[in-house]
Amino acid sequence: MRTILLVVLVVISVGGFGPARAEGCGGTYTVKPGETLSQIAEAHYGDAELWARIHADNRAQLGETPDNVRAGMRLRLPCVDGLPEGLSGETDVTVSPPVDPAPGGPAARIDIVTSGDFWPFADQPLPGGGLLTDVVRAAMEAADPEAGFAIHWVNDRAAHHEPLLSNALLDIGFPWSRPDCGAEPERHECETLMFSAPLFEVLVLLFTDRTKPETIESLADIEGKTLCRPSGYSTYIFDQHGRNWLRDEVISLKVAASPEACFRLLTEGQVDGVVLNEFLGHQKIKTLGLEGRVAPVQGRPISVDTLHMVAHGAHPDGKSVLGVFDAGLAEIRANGTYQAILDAHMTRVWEAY
Amino acid sequence: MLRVGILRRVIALGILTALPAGAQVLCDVTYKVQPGDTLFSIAETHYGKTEQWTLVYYANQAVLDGQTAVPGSDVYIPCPASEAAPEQMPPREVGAELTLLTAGNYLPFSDRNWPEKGLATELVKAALEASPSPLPYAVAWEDDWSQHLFPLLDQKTYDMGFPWLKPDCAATPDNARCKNFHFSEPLMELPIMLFKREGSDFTYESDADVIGKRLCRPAGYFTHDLDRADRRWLSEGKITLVQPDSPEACFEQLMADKVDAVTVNVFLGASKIVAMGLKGRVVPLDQPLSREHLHVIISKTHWRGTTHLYRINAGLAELRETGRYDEIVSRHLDLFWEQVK
Repeated sequence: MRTILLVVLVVISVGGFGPARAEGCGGTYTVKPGETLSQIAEAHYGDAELWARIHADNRAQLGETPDNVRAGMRLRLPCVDGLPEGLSGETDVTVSPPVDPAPGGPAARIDIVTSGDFWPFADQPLPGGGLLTDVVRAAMEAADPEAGFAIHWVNDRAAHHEPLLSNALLDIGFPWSRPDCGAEPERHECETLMFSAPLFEVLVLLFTDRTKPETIESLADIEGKTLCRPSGYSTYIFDQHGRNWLRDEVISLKVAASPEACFRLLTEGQVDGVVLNEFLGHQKIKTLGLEGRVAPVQGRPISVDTLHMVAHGAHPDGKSVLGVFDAGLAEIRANGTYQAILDAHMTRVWEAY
Repeated sequence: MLRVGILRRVIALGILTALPAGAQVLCDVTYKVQPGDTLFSIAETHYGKTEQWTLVYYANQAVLDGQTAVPGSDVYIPCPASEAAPEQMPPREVGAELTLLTAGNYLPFSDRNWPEKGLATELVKAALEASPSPLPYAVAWEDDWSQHLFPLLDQKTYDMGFPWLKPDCAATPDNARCKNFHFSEPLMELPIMLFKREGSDFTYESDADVIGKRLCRPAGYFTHDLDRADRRWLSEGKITLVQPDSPEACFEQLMADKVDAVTVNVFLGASKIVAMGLKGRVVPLDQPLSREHLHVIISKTHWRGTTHLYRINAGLAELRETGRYDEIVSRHLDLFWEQVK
């Protein structure tokens, strides 16, 4: 699969270092919904600071306020250092299509691993196998790797990173949340995993039993409490953004076999709280008949998590396979497929609430 | 009891008129509400102008009973804040991960020519700056409100929209707005007033006073407050609702005695009265008819629906805790009443 990487590099170098065509420099650009001058400057000159230059050249239309830029406005983009290329008086600029890795394509099928019982994101009985399974399938179909792809269900999440992905038994896996690797690059997840662009964003909440006398009312009451997390679920969320609940032994962590097992420990009084994402937590409360008894603590969540596809650094082709997935994801994000999948699944989610 | 209130007010007016001009503002004090006081009379006493009642209103929402100042309770009288400079907020538009959509010409809430582009705009921006999980954001303007919910926000052309009234979603869960959007915690409360001709004998002390009256509200505006569980005015035919095309048409009908009152929010009413030269001839009744709330909204099928909502809500809570919320609101209210003076 290394050939993919080479092909990608070749394509980029042709596009990036070719001489600027004089006839293509500068021109008219039609503003897309939501775009700001800085974004336009970044996209066309690679320099957001040049918004002021665009503003200056279009003052007749924009007036004194750059914020007046609106979707559908036709702005004149001046030629600066040979950029932007390819604009003409009448032609809209389109986002360049993702690099197609197909020529010479991967020798082997791309094997993707997920686990069930993760409502509404990944669960075999759900339509399409859940929201993110549907997204992943659509992204891979868009990327269309030559040797195809397959999604495998392995319900022991604790085995996904190691050994399944690290030993290249499977290629990439989802859904996994990403720590703030910019702030703490030495974290185990940051050193061993590579993350795709985000697929979805969720709140991770603390669920408590309201019928217990010493129930946690706010996160200020957290000291000395025991929290439950299912096996294979991330625990970095307790040690981030200046909070060190596990490192400093502020809390005790109980790892149980499943979300249900955590809720059973909660109602038996063996743990003080269960930590799950908002959707999974609400679904389990409903199926276990705990409505009115177990509820999330109000105020700050435990974490705001983005969910991703991951590859393991020890997989020889992990990076290139993840690149194939990211290209497909970018394509379905741009062509509306991603949003259509979300509309269908999230409408069901809110109807179930 | 009523006599005492009137007497006290007469005395208060006497003191105020004795003061040199410009020294009539009595503020940053706590005032014990007297029997017979209304928010209008309290504002008159302390600021010398009834229009400033909204300053007292927004500074005392916890102690007011709805819109009524309870005799014996303490209300805080904030100082008008027009002198205070807004805190400079960095522009956060490079690589924005959250684009908010609003429209202009909605004073004092959102307008590109208003200081800080409006009260709601400043609150939303300040909330995002104060949020514990901040993101680079941008504010986009599209002056055709009718395009905002469907398709622009529904199709995620933009991420969040403001400021929007929330329908009575408990009573009408199938309402398109309830069904498709999450609503943030309220950005602010919006008193819906009754405006009558000066000299008309229309009073509003309880809902019984409205039965049989002819009210005017422009077409396309919400009507759920006129037909809620405790007042089925529309479905039981208890009032006549006239709905012409514009607020101006409502005020014209009021002056022609075709309706008894115009019912719109306090700010819209005040600005139309001034714009139409009706100041002094049309007056608000001092008890709001209902209270609505303005919100930030996001599509329920947005990939960051609940997390963006959390960012806004957590930021708003922070603003309220630090007092920044009150500072922003009172500064804009002051500017607004200065403008319509």
